[in-house]
Amino acid sequence: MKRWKSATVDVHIRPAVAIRERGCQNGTSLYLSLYVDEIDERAEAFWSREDPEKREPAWRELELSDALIYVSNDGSIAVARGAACAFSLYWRMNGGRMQLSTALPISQGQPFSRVGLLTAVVGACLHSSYEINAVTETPLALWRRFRRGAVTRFDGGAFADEERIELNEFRRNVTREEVGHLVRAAFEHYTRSQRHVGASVLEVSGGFDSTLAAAIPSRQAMRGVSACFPYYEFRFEEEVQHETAQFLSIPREKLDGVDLFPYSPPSVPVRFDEPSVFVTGIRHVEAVARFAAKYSAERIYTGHGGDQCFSTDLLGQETLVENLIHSGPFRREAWKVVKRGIELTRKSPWIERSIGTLVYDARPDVWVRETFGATMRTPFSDRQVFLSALAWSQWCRQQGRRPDKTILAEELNDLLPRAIIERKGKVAYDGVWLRAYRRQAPRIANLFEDVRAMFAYLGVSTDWLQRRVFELGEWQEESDREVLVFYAIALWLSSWGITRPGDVSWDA
Amino acid sequence: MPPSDVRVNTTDYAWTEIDAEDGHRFLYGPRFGRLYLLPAEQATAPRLLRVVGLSQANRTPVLTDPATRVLHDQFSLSSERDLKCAGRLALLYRFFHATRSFVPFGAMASIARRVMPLLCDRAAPAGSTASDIGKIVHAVESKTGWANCYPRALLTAGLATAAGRECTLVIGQLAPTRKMHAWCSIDGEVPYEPSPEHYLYQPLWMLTLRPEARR
Repeated sequence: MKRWKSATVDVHIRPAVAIRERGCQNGTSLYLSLYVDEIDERAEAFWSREDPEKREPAWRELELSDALIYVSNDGSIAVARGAACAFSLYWRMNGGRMQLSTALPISQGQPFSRVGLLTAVVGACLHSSYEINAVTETPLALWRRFRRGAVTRFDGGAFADEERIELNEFRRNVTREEVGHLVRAAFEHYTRSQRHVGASVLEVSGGFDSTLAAAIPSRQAMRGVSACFPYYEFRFEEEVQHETAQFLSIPREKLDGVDLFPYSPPSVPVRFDEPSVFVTGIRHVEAVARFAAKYSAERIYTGHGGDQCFSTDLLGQETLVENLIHSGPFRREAWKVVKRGIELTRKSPWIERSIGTLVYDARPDVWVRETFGATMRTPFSDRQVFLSALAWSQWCRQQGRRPDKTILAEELNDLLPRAIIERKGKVAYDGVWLRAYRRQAPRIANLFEDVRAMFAYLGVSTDWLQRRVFELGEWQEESDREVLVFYAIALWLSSWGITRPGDVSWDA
Repeated sequence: MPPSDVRVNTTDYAWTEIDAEDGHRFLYGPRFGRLYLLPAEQATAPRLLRVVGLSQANRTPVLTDPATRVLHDQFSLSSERDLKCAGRLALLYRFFHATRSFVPFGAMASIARRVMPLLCDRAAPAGSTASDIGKIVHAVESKTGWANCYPRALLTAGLATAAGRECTLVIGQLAPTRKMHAWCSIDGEVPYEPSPEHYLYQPLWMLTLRPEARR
C-alpha cells in the first residue's frame, strides 16, 4: 500500500492505483486512476480546467473511472469518485482523523456489521453486478464507501454533505449532426488516449462495443480471444467473430465457453472488497486475463458499458432488476433489513442513469491488474463517450424513439466490419445460465453448506437456497435471483476465510 | 390472383423435439399450446403424442428455421402509416392475444386466414409483398401500443394468406429455458419483428399455410 498523509487525513492506496499530486493556492489535489499510462494526461486535463477563482476543483470534468481527493488548507476534505470508478474507495473517522483507503481492510481485525452484510445482499440483488451506490454501508461496521458520481465533503473532522456530479448538459434540443460530431470526437479522443499501449488483448465478441474498443492507433501487437459455445443460438457468432478479427487484422484464439460457464470457480482466490455478483463470471475473466498474461499484454480491451451508453435511455429512471429477491430464505428480522434497503434503493437519487453510475462495473479490474498484470479498458467509461451517449439519448427522446446503436453504425462505420453492422442481433445467454445451473448445482450447494453457520447468523436459510439451486438444475422455471445474490455473499465470505461468526469480531 | 379467389390448405405441419441434455426432451403440443419436458421414452409414446396434438407421421428429426432474415424492425420503420382497416386489424390482434390460453395456435391460424378477408379484404391486396405485410403489422402494433410475438405471427399469417401468399408459422424454444417464440415466415423472410430474435429460438413445430385456387 502507498501512503499519503496530511494534518487531517491518511490515504492508503493499493499498488494497482496510480496517483498524482498537485498543490495549489487553496490546498492539495490527489488524482487517482487505474490507468497508469493515461493518468498524467487525465490529471493535467482535469487541473487545466480548474477555475482559479473557485474554491474547489471542477468536479464535473473528472473522468468517470477516476477519483480525486482534495485537501483544503483549512483542513476540510472533498472526495469525488467518478460514476464508473475503476477501484473502490472507503473512509472512516478515527479519533478526529480521517482515513481513506482504496481497499476495505477486511483481514485487519476490524468489526463486521450484520446490517452491512445484509445491505450487500440488497446491493447484489438490486444492482446486479454493479457496485451498490444507493447506500454507503459496507460489511465493516466503521467503514463507509464513497458513492460514485458524487462529491463527498468533510469539515471539522466530520461528514458534511454529498453532491451529485451532474453530467447532463443537453437540456436543450440537439441536432442529429451535433450528436454525430460528439460521438466521433469522443472516439477520436479515446483512440488518442491509447497511443502508448503496446501489446494488448481484445475480447472479440463480434459486437459493436468490443470492436470499437479496438479502434486504437496500433494493433500490431494485439491478439483477439473469443469464448465460443456449441449451442443453437450461438450458431452465427463464430462467423461474425472471425470476420471481425479479419477486419481488425489481428490473430484470434478461441476459448471453450462451456469451460467458462457462469459459476465456474476461479483457480486463484478472488478477494473483492465487497460481495459482487460479478464473481459468477470470474472464470471467464480469469481465462482472458491469463491469455493476456501469456502474451505480456498491457491492456485487455472490452466493450463493457456499450449497451448501457447507447442502447439505453440515459435520461430515464433506472428500473434495476426485474426479478426481485424473494423473502423465502430470510428470517423476519433479516428480511426487514433487506426490505428497507430495497425501498431506499428504489427511491435513491444516486442511481439515476444520467449521472452514469450504471455504465460499468469495474470490480474485477483491480483483481485482474494485481493478479495477472494487464489493465482492463473499455471506451464506454470515458467521460466524453458518456457525454456523447447522453446527447444521443436526448436526440432519441426528441424523436420519440428508443436509443439504439444506429448512431455508432452510421458515425463510426469505418471502424466496424460489415458483418457487425449487418448482424442479426444480440445472442441471449439465458440458455447458457440454465445449463450452468445444471452443471454447477452440486458445487453451489456445497459452497452454501460451507458458510451455513454464517448464513444462519445473518438470518438466511441455507436449506432454502440449496433447494432452489437444485430446482434450477432440473430446468425448473424459478427465479435465480436468490442464488445469484447468496453465491456472491458465500464466495466472498469463503474467499476471506470467514465461515463462522466466530471467525471475525462483530459490531455491538 | 385476387384474395377472394383463394382457399388455404392448413394441414401441412411438422414437429420435432429438443434434447434437454439430461435424458429428457422438450416438445410443443399444439392442442393445449404448451411446452412439455418429458423422459425420452414418453416423448415417443404415440398415445401421449396424440393427446397433446402431435402425430408420429409429421415428426421430423430436425426442423430448420424457414426464415433467413427479418425484413423490417422497429428502427427501420416509421410509425406513421395510413393503414386501411387499422381499427379492425388492431381488434383482431387483441383477439389473438386474448384467446391464446384456450384456443390452440393451429386452430387460431385457421381462424385467422378465414376471418381476415371478411374483416378487411383491402388490408393486404393480392400481390402484397412480405415488406408490405411487415409495414401493416408494424402499424397495427403501433396502434395497439404493445407488441407480442403470438398475435404478431397470427396476424402476419392472416395477412399473407389474404394476399395469396404461402407462409410458415413457427413455434420455437430458447432451449433449455422455457422461453418460447412464435413467428411467421413468407418466402424465407419474417416481414416484421420489432427486435430480430427468432433466430435464437430452435423450431419445435411448424405449420405451412398454402394458398390454392378456389374450385
